[in-house]
Amino acid sequence: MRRFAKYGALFLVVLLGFAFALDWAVTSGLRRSESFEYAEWNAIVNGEASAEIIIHGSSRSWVGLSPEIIGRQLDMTAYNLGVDGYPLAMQLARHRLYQKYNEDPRIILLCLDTYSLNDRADLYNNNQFLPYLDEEIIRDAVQPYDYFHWYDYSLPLVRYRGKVELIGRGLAELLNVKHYTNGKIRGYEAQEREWNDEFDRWLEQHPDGVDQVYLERLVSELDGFLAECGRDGIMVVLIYPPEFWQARDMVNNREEILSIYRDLAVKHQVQFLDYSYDAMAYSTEYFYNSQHLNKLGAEMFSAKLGGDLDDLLNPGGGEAAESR
Amino acid sequence: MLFNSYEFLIFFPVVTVLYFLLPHKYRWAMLLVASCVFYMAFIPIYILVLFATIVIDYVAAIYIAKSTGRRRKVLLAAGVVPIVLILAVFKYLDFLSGSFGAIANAFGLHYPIGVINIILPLGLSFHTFQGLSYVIEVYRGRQEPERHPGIFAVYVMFYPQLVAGPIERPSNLLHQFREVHGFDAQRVVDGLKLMLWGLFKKMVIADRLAVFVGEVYGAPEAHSGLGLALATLFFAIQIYCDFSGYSDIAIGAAQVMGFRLMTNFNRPYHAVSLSEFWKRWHISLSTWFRDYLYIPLGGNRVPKWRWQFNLFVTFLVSGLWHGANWTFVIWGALHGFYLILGLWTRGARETAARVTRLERHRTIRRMLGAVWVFVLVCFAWIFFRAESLDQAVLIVRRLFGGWQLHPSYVSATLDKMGVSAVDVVILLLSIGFMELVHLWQSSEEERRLFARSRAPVRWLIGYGLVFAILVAGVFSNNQFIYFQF
Repeated sequence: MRRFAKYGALFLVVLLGFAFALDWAVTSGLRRSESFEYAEWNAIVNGEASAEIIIHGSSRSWVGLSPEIIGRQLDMTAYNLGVDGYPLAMQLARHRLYQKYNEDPRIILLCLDTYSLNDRADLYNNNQFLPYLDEEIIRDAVQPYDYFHWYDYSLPLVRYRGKVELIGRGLAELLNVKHYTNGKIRGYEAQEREWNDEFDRWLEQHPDGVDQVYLERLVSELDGFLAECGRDGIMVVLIYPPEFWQARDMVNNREEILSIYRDLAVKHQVQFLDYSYDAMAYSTEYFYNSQHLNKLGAEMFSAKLGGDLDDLLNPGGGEAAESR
Repeated sequence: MLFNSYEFLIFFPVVTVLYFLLPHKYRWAMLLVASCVFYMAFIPIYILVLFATIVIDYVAAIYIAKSTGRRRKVLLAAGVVPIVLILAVFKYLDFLSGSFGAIANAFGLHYPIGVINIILPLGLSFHTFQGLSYVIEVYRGRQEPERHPGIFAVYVMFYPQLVAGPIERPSNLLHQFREVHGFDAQRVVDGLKLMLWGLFKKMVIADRLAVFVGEVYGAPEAHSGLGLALATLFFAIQIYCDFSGYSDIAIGAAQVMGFRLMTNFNRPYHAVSLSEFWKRWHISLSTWFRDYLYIPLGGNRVPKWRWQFNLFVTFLVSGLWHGANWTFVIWGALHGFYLILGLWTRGARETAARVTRLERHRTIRRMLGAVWVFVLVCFAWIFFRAESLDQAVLIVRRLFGGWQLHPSYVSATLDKMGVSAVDVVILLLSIGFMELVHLWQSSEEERRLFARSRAPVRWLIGYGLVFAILVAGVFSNNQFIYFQF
């Protein structure tokens, strides 16, 4: 029995050692990756995302706001940290992680929509969180989804179980066999796509429109975030990018949600720039679906937003405004 | 509770440690409680069904042992009929009702009884058969009735083999609950290795193949003949790895505590004849049918036509045992037909072997035989896996069309099935490794060589298996296929 226990323990110790080594290798590799899932997270945790303007939001942000165009117009550095598929809670978690490893920005552009104050039921694209499960901010952000368990956090390699392709990618990165990249530039990727039939299909399923859910918890979070930024001297601009007009009018409680944004903007003395009635909203030429701007729309909108921000920052017509 | 669940990862060591810590006289009680916990992790209320079958078997066996003559037969019927009725109600009522309804509709008659959708208690077909074998063995005088109700209950409920076998005989298992099992390190290690091997087959091979098989069999009309053939081939491997994986875990878990369960699989796809296949596949069930149906029907000690009838009936019932669906009946009938065809063509095949001089090349003949048996078994699996008879017929019809072996076509077919390049590599490596192990298992000399190999080599293989499961396993808590029976 004693011999069995001794050899059993030895077997387990060696096993754990191998598992720790492989976990470390995969995590280190993935933390070098510039693939779609990891590029922004890695830029953040490696302190490479510092910029004067930080853009937060969901996919409507990373496909719709070009940091290059906005930054050029304001003569500032900019980075788009829009997190694909997630509403406000995850966006704010990403911001907290940004603050931990990067310099505070001067300006935060927070892209909002009627879905921002909702929460999704699933932990969408959950692979993107795996290399950062040791970050408390990430652990707190994913905890409500009940997707990861104690063993994912505590036992080596268990978080990567069954993810053979991801393990391969991590090792390939670590060993410099292959470097994974994506088409984003400072978090923004232009979508050279034309209007598709997604909205028509959606319309067939929802002929009477939808009531968008908003959570008081997230209203409070947004409130707290704006207050905190105010204390830290960070200027926040709330932005509602254009959405296709027919879809806009299909959210039955739209005004109710927008009034929350307006009230918070007044409360914290921040600007709320609402482009949902902009001329762009009436042409499919600028969108690839009802919520997302295509390349033409994104570049036109970014230029427009840059100009408006310049007016805000330099009401008398500052240097950046003059050079335009 | 699934063997491939995190709950079992806690449950198994706790139960095992408790088993060795407790004095022998309390072990049966601990095993009984553990088995109840294990079973109640599924649908707790169904434990009452299990208890009902235990009580019937227990009481019937005691009274059978006490009685003689015609009364003994009546008591046997009193023990067997209620169990068969329980099985029939839970498993076949909807099937029978649906079949009567279809017949009534065909004759333009009104059939008022609709489908009840009864959920089958887990492992019902397995533990009822185990209980029946006990009652029959007592009736035949080969087994003393067990008077300790607790020990009898744990014989029926023993958690490693409760939900999917192996279906044990009382002569093999019952007395083991009275044996004092000391801690034997080598036995424990061997049991753990077997469990690991079973998990590897289940999680790395079977569950990976299940995704592609499900994709094709979910919409067979969308796939070409090549896709359907590949999915059927995949299913043949999936069901073997799934069920033999389960059996290995069950046998291994029991072995750790000192129990010896019967072998359930013995490299069935290496069989060179259909009869050999059935000596190697789900051995505990095929021997059950042999002992309690085929032989009582007369076996092969009857006129040839009757022998063939007995074979056919046995396989028909075996098909029906698997599930209440005509697809299973056809599957069983096909195997019965294969065996009868084998009897009819035995002479012709011997002559063909002589003429082609294949009889001189035993290895080639055996390989050809194994391939042929595998093809026949795969064909029958179509009926086993298909969701309905119509679907099975559709698959068989489409199977022979849309075949191209051009690499780009094969690649496009695999793509459509959802098989990626990584999947191909994992499957080739893991199935190749499994076949190596099968070859090693088939040779006593190789086995001894492995046992004598240095600890680091054996450990390395252990680590290899653990990491293969961790890295390439499918962790979606997939049920074992045979749980549905």
